[in-house]
Amino acid sequence: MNRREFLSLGASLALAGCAPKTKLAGSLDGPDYQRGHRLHSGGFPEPTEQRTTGVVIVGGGVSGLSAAWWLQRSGYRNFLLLEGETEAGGNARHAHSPVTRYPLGAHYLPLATREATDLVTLLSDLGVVTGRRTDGSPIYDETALVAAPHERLHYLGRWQPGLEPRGPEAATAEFRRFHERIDRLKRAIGRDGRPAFATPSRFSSRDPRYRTLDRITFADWLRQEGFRDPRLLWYCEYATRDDFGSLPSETSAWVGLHYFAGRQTWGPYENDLVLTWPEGNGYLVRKMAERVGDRLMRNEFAWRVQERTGHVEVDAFDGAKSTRYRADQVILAVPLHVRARLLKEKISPHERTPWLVANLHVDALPVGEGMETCWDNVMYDSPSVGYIVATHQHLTQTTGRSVLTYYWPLTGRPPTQARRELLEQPWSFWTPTIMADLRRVHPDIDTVTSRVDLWRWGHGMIKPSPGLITGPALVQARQSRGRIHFAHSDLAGMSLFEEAHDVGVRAALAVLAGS
Amino acid sequence: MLAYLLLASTLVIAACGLVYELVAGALASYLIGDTITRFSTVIGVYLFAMGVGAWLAKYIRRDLLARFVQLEILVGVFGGFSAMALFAAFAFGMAFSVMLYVMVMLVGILVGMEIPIMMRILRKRLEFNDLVSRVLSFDYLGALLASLALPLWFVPHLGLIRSALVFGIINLGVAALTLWLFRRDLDRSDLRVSTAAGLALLVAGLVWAEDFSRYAESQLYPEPVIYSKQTPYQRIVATSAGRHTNLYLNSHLQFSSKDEYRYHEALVHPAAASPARIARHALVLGGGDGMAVRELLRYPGIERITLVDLDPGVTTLFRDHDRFALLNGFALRDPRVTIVNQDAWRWLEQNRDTFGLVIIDFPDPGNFALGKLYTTTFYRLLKHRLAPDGIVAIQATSPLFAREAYWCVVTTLETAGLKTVPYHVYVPSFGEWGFIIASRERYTPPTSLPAGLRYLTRQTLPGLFVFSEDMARVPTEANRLDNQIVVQYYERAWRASLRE
Repeated sequence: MNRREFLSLGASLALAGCAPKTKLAGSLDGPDYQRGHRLHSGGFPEPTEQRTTGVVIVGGGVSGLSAAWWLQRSGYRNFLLLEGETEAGGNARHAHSPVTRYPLGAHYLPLATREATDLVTLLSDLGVVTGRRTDGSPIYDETALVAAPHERLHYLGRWQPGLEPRGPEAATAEFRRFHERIDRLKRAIGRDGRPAFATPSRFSSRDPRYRTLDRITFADWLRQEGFRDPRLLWYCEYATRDDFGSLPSETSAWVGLHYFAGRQTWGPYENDLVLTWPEGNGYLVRKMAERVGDRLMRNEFAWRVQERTGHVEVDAFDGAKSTRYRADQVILAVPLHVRARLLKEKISPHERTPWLVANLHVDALPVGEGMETCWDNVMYDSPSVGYIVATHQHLTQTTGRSVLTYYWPLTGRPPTQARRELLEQPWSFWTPTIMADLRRVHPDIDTVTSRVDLWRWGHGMIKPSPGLITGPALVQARQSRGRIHFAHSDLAGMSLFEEAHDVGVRAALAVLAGS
Repeated sequence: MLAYLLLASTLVIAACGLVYELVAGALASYLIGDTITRFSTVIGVYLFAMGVGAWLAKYIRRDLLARFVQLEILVGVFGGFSAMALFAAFAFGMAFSVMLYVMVMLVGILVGMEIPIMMRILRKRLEFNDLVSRVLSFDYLGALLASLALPLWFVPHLGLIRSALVFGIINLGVAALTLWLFRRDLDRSDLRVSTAAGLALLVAGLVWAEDFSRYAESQLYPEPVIYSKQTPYQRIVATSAGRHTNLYLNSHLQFSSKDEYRYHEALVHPAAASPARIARHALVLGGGDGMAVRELLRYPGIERITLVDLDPGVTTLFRDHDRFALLNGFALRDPRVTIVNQDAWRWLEQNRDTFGLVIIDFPDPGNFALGKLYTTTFYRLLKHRLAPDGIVAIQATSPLFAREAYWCVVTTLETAGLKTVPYHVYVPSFGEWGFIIASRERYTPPTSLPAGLRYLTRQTLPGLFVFSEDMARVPTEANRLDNQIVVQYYERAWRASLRE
């Protein structure tokens, strides 16, 4: 801004006026947890109607939709997908307002790796991949690549480019050493010839040299390697909180390193480039749900699954009555704790981090010191993992009205306690904390914000604790049982789109093999 | 009764005092930025000044009532005009920070004297304990009311300048009230006259606040401002330089009527007069001033012109306002012209027509929003809307001033699969300016030009395509949505020019 622009801003402010909204509007919403908790307490009416189909998919999140997509793609159409919520999408759901579509959860997908061939097929079907190069690598639709400028960090009172905290002193040796270490791991190949860290994770090497990293925490690994710089440790903590909702001291070292070393982009793209849309991954699940068409049954909450001789029965409640679905085979694309309730089993031990996502409607992008607004805006010393700007991917010129999506993983205390607080506390409890956090970096945040809509994810993400990925529980959980197959990113131990998609496709393949 | 009215005055003057402090802090942080530092230093200096005022109050021994009235007049006038003065200091390029703290110090000292004097006036009417409690509680209550009323009602409705003036008037109201309450003890016409004069001054300020800020703004332009309007997208300012008119959008010069013909003839005719084919339907993107349309209307073969410009504020001005419409020869009122006020990208996406001739006159890629209109993705979309033998002419910033940015646009068009022919022209008020012709087929330069041109002739035309060594092509990356490299090239040029 030059002096004149400053002044015209000052002139419009001085005359037209500019002040905090008298009253902040908002809402508090999320998946229907009361219905979810009835899985435990019971009390659903017995089915009064019956439908027969070839395959029932329970759960319309990324893995369920991926299973449906693969079935359809293979020419198998005799299936129904039961989604318990009013909208499909799971953690990738979105909402919309007159200003823009905006995410309620997952908001980006890293560019595909060489291993993720099924994912590239999906992206081609959805038009996100527009073609292939001669080496087979995908060519992406440019409008889906995150637009410049990508990301900034608020550190030492200023917004600075990139996410690595840069202080007044020269770039620290530790960051350099860390990147060198990660680069080695990126190239590392196990004795079985597979990459040490691959995405989807099932393509990773079984070499114990790398697998044993699952026995220690990421914090342990950092300590063992002599990383001590608080800024590097912050950066690593940001990474595990952002992707897994867990602190490095709770995260398996294998998983923490997978975040950094597990994604070698296929094709001539910058390594940190991602795909995103105004509604985040809501775009992908929306397009997938459109393709499933009327085989997607919304608000159909499965509450019991029983295997009979020759078929499986799924009982689902639509708010008024229950229907019994009789299917040859079933895919349970639900998290571990829900699946245990449906099958009346013990829950295999794991923890889940609750998340709070706040969507702020703003009349203008808030101002701050330093670099201009990016797509991803992260604050050092914040309980959040930052906010993203929904209109950043818009191609049109804008007046500044936008939606900021603020992500807050409730880490640092026992998940059950955090979850209880999340479900019990009202909007007025959370909103002032969020606004205070943003006010530190944007003094005008109160002036520009008109609405704050909170979305709570009580059971948000599985926590990739040491031993989860390589332990026997997930191996067992992945096994089909007779006519029942399983999907969900939980089965990979990491709440990631690529994992959910891969597991969903595997389940669809198992169904096709069984029919 | 009297005591209560005086306590009510305490509340009012406390409110006014806080308002001046808030206004100074807010204006400083709006104009200078660095909000936290500005706010905390303004508040700190103000509180300190109040302390100084409270201390100085002890030197006032006699005529407490008269002194109090004088104080109110001074606080009202200085506080009331504080925002305007600060704004003027900024606009006229005076030492803003010095002015800010002098103002804050002055008003703070005056406000700091108010409460001690008020307490001494009330001393005879209330017991000491009661006096201190009541005066202080009304003082704090007034501060609360001000801190709520200012942001919630005054600033949204009146803005900072006028809010300060209104509170100045309230201070003078307190002076007038005091004069009336003590009309027996305080029969002084000089005070009555000063109060009336101060009130008149503030009311006049209120009436002319708008003219004032327009005038202050005009100081930022080298010529008198004849029109200014803030639209949702930009600030439109027109100035008059003798017989000529200059147009600024967000403070960037768009044209000067003195030499805009050079720019617009060069923008339009090398493409429009190309003999390959006479387009019947021409498209203009941006260019809401209608100058490019004026040039296109010289071609009888063109049956329709669609002008797509985001901002109705610009197209309405240049169609309906005679003074401005005259500049484009009333081109926007021509029946062949259709004006569409829509985002160019969205319009191109939704409209499936193809065009034989497209003129693009967007603002320079000075920010990321505008940079999107210079990307491979945009040019690919444009290519889809271009007839097989169609031609596009694009304004592409200065090849001399922003050399990398200019050649980056060329590279980007080529990456999008278009053939390019770069050219440039000298426009005195801009300097050396660059354009690019883009087409699917090979471009053929015009062999004849329409009649009535002031700059381009068949003889001068070939010179446009010759680039001197200091603006010859440099290798650059293509501008994509995910890198927006053209914005970086452009900013680099700006920074370099500021260093010189």
